[in-house]
Amino acid sequence: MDIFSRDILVALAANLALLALAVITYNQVAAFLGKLPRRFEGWFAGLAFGLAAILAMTLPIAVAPGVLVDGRAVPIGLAALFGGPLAAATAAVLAAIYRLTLGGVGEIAGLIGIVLAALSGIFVAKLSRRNASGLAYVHLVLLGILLVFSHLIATLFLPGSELAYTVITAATPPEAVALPLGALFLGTLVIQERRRRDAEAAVTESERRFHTITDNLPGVVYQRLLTAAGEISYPFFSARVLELFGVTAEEAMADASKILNTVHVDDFDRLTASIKESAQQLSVWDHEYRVVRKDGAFRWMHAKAVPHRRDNGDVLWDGIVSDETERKIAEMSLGVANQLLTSTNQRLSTMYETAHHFVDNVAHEFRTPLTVIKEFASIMDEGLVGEMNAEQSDYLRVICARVDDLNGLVNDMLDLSRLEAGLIGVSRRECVIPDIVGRVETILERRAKASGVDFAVEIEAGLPALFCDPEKIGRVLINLGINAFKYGGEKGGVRLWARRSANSREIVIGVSDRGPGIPAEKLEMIFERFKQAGGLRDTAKGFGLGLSIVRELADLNLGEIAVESAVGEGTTFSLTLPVFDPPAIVARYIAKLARERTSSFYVSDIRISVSGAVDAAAADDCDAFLQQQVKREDILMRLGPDSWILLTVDKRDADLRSKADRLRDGLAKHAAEIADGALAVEVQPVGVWRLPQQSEALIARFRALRDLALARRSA
Amino acid sequence: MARSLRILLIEDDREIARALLLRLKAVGHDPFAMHEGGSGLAAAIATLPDVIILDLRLPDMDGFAVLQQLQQHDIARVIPVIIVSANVAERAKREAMLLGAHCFIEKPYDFRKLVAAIDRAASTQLPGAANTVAAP
Repeated sequence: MDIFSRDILVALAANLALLALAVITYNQVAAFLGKLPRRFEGWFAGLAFGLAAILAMTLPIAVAPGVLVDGRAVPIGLAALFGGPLAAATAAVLAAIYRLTLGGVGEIAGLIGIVLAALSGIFVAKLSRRNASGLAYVHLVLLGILLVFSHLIATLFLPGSELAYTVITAATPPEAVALPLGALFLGTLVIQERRRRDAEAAVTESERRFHTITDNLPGVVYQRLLTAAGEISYPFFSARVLELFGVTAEEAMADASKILNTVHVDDFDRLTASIKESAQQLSVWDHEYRVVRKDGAFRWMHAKAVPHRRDNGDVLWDGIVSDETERKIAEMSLGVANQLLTSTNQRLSTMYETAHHFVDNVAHEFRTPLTVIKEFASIMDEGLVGEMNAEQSDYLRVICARVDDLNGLVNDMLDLSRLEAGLIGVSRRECVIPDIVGRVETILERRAKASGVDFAVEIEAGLPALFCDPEKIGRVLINLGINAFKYGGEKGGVRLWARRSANSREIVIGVSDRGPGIPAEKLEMIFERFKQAGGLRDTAKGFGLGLSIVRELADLNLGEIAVESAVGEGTTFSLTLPVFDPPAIVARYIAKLARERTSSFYVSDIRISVSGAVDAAAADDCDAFLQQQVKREDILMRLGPDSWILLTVDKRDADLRSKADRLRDGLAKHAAEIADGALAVEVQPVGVWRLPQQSEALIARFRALRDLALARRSA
Repeated sequence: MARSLRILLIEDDREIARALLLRLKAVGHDPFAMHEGGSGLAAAIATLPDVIILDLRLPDMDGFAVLQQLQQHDIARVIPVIIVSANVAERAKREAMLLGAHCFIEKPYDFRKLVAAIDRAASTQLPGAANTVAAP
């Protein structure tokens, strides 16, 4: 390298230093302007790098008259890298205009050099964009080398090969050094500045996002520090701490006591103890406590924080606190309501128990003297303590009849209280009219005689079996009979009769008198009251205890009650009961349950049988036992001498199984007592039926069971 | 009239007991009465009557307790027990039957029905009962 070349190198170095200043200025301006819209970015970079090129051209070195060498190619090349093709073009145009104003023989070559520099920049920019990590130092060096070649090519356009040769020999060696170094140096300046700016923007963005999130969370995000010395501080609180604790984040971070002082006095020790425990075991801190606001109101907080131990022994928690007051209040009021309900229930059931005991006791106290009166009247009447004359005997019978009346009244009173409580037991079974009438005939006859009324019983021959509780139906007949003796028996006597209904599926039992009759409007009233479910006390008020009981007992036996009357001719009360036909009984049973309910319900059937050395008496004994176990809502049907079906409204599987188990155990125990282990007992839940939807299927099942039982009986 | 039966009456109401003794004797039975649960139980075990008529409400121990204790006795457990009570609650009936009573008759009773129940109870004694009593 000769002296001249060295001068050129020095001049180029000075040129690059100047450009460095220009780039630093560009960086500052770009940072000041911030992020420009994309379409302005190219213009701005083009303008900046074009001006830098012009600046370079103000300090040229003339290798020959009119032939200028300088560092202009570097900013023109870089323009494409930092501002794209548009920037390259802008910078090239500005530089070209300035070069034209300078003139000289190298004018054309200079313009060509400018264009080639811009094209080199665009080429390298394209290349760098293909690179995954973007613009790298190697791209800058490549650009520098391309710029050297661009200059060489442009030199060839100088007029005269001698001039070109002179310029190439003098300028190429220093350019070959200066242009790649310059591109690398200046490009690095821009790249680093850009990276710094991007990193800064990223930090700003993540910080902004963090605050947005913490401020919008339904709770407070915080950090708590417990030093090894046991001091608590709060390095961070999100802004909502003001809302929850009434303390600003700044106050809370500066002074931990501001936060700790808000904790309810009763919760404070528990809170600090649990913090220590979480620190020792590094377990998640999950805690509920109360915070007292400045206005005195307290709120429930729920905090959850995860601890980490630091190298110096401090423990730092990252956590979140939320206000759970609403949930807590709801929880507590639910608890209180529950407690209230439980205690009310307990009180009610105690009252209920007491009331029932009272009624039972009163009834007991009545029955004992009634028994004594009846016993001694009977002893005298039977002549056990000396002969009675006819009149004395008659009077003694009146005493007995009235004792029975009074006892019936006591039973009615007791039943009324049990009916209202749904406690009455009912023992419905296959029976015949004589079973029912036989048990009340004597009492009614005795009663009629005592009242001086003619009484007759008329029962149609060949009546089929019924399904009812004969004792309860007997009570109905006694009540209807006494009613008739009282109000209608004076003239023509009272008849108790029974016959088939028109369709033969039912049996009607009635009591008719020939009394004065009941006027239509009053009859309607009685009839309406019969129809009404409930309202026992109402009915009892107007027409005596008897008729209310009659209606309830009829209902309990799947029966219907009716009244007919004509003034001057008499009154008939009648009771319609189902014939013992399992499918028809089930249909009535479903209808009765459906009347008492508004939505679907479930009925389960349990099959019961005894086998082994069964004689009729033992089987009847088992039947009596089972009848005692049946609830009024259930229905037990004896389909064969030793087999039964129990329909029960228990729905749930577990209930059903436990019911079946209880029944099996009880029956097995009973069977062991009556037959000393000779009887085997089977109790098996069969199915659950959704009613009324599956009514047809259930009825069909009983039709099949009935046919089977009939076939067995005839075989 | 069936055979004459030895009947133990456990009944605290003396008038009722008196009337029953009179009437049972009149129909040919051989009744005797105790007025407390404890003495009744002791008499049952000591004399092994054919039938026991038991009231539920008794001054010392109630009829349920008497029933329970009878059931625990090897021999006395086979004696049929007829409950005659003014406590006619379903609950009481159910419990008495569960405890092994033969049947339940409500007070005031129909004497003819009581006599029929006694005959039935004596004739439907447990199949194993005769053996148990007769066994040496």
